[in-house]
Amino acid sequence: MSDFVIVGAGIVGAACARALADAGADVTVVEDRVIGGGATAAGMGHLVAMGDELSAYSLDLWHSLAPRLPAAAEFSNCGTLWISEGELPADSSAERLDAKQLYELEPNLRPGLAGGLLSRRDAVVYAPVVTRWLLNGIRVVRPPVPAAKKTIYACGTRTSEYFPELALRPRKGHLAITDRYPGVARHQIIDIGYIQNAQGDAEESVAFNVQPRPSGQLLIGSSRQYGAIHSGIDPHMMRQVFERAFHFLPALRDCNILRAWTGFRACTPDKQPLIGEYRENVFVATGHEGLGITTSLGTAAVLAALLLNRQPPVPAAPYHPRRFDG
Amino acid sequence: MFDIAVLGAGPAGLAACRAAAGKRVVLIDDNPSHGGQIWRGELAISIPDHVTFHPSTRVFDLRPGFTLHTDTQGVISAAKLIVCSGARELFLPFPGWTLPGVFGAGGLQAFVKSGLDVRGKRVAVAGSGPLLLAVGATLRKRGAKVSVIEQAPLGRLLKLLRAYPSKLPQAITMRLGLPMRTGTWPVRFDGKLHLSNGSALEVDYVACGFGLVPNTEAAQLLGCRLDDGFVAVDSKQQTSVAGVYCAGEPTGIGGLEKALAEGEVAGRAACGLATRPVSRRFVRDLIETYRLHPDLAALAKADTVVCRCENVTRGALDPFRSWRDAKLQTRCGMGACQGRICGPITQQLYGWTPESVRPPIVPVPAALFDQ
Amino acid sequence: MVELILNEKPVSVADGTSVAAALIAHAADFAPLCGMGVCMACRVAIDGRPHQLACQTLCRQGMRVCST
Repeated sequence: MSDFVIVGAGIVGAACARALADAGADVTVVEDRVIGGGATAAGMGHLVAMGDELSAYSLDLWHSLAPRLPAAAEFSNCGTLWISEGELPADSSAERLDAKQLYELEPNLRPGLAGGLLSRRDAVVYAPVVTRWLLNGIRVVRPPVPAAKKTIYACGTRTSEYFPELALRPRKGHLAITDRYPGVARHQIIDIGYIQNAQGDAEESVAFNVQPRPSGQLLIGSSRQYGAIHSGIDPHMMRQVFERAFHFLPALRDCNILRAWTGFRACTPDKQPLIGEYRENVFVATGHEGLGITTSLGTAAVLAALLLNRQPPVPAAPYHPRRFDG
Repeated sequence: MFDIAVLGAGPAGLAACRAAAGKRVVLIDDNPSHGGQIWRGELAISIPDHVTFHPSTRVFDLRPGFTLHTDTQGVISAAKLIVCSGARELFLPFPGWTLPGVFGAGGLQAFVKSGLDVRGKRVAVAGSGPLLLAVGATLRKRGAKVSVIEQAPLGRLLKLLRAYPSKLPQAITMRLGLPMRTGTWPVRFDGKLHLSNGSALEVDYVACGFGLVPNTEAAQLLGCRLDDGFVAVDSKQQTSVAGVYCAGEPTGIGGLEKALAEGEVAGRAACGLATRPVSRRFVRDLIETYRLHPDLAALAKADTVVCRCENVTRGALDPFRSWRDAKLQTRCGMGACQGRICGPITQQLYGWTPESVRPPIVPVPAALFDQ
Repeated sequence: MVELILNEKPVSVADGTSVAAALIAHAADFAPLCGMGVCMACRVAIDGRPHQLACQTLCRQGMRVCST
């Protein structure tokens, strides 16, 4: 019997498996589809500090890990450029840019923006490759889930298939990718309203978010929808995503779109993940909303600490899986 | 709103248009003129008067209702749809297949018909399928020195001819003056084309294709059921989606006559007229005749490129067990062609099946998503 | 006849020639495959616009094509 069985070979499950295996435990991962093939593959791979301890700690871990990652992981310290048509938050720790500096960095942005915030430590990574790399040397099997001393469920929205009462809701997102157009954007550029959407509860919301890929392609997002179950493209959402994109980066209009797709973020009522013991010998690591890739490493460190009875590197209480009970 | 939209102005689409006389019909094709792809220039059918023809128009999305979202003609609505999207070539990789001078078989024919001068050029037309003879004949007419290399053994080819004697004159005409080798195939190109039987040909161009793959993406976007990779239709060419018909190669590779017959049935059925089912016998016989030799799946070496768009070699793909896994880990299929070329290759090499289809089914400028 | 510029070289082709056909004859590295707008190997910059399909574009007088 393994010490730990982890259900779900997405980046969260893989990171947890790695942390536990590196601590000497016997680990088995269960995956019924493709390694890193769920939300891990659908997402932008944006590594972003969002002002909370878990993402800040995780970003540090990513920077430590980066030199060891294979080239195909495409880790790029391109930073995040936050922009706004209104006010930018005054209390941000990011570097403040005036208009001149902003347009020097990103000349293709629409004119009339007063400035921006540059988070230099933010980065981008290609998550499916990292997921497979994290699982190097770790046993991955197909279902059924074998017995273990402790079982960890890290299946994103599909965790609800095992525990329907879990406070998880799928939150659908749309993305599109262009052909190669090097130089249209140099940083991941996001409308500051994105944060409000992510932390809010609107049934549908859209925020400008564009990421230049190392290939020269541009990844265009983003959207959030509750209550959508089918994974097809919703034309009205895709249209709004593009409207916002053209509004901030008009050059995108002429870029050929190669493909569009959707993904489902696992979302909790307070938008913080569920990390920890759910029932006796049953743990969960899910509910990361749009920060699963960023906080996968921090989640793994916290979860491993809880499982191995060590002090977690950041307080685990805010992520308690039962915090919504009663 | 049109009564009927016909997608594809090849033989099937043109026959469907002609059969739907009296209806308001719109005909859409991505080429500058009608006539289709693989059987280029062999058609004497003109566009009927009741048809609005939109050439050079690409459809990137299709939705229930039906609406066709195009790059140059905005959104077109129609009560019924007849999908006649034809087929593309199956390419199989072998060392040297990505070098300049190696084209598809239908590919080189297309280039020649749009101005490439092949007078005096030595061309090997290799691979499999009735298309090779047609391409060879075209090239010979344009002054090339052609030899045809068909992987199917001669016995099977003769058996097909005996079963379809009406095709004999056409076959003889094409075959005249065309040196042909059967039961052999390319194994390497390095300026010379090396064949599996040990011989090597001095050539200027290689025109190489191993059969046809149906273009089912438009039908799939509408939710039409596929059967073994082809669009499933009943005896009236109706798909699993009410109001959507399909005719020609997407329902089964059967060439010109099948396309014309099925197009007519689809056009008539869409008008509520009586029809008679089209035989599938030729489709089955073609499959049997041109069945690919198993060695063809093993020509690619570890360093032979499989995904041309992203430069992914066979060696990089071998470790994976599914299309999606390989795609996510190697970028195979993520390039501009979105797996249209490498997807069928991996199906031959590994038995992988492609993923579901999403719009846009062709690359189009983002501005069009504002429609 | 149509005169156009292929990779900085002036070239003359017959009316109705596709950019792909012209490039096959005049650009040694150009390696298109399918001839029907599917393989995307023939994408070139035409008059400054990138990613145009050479096989589906006819040569026009004065056109500037870059395939490198």
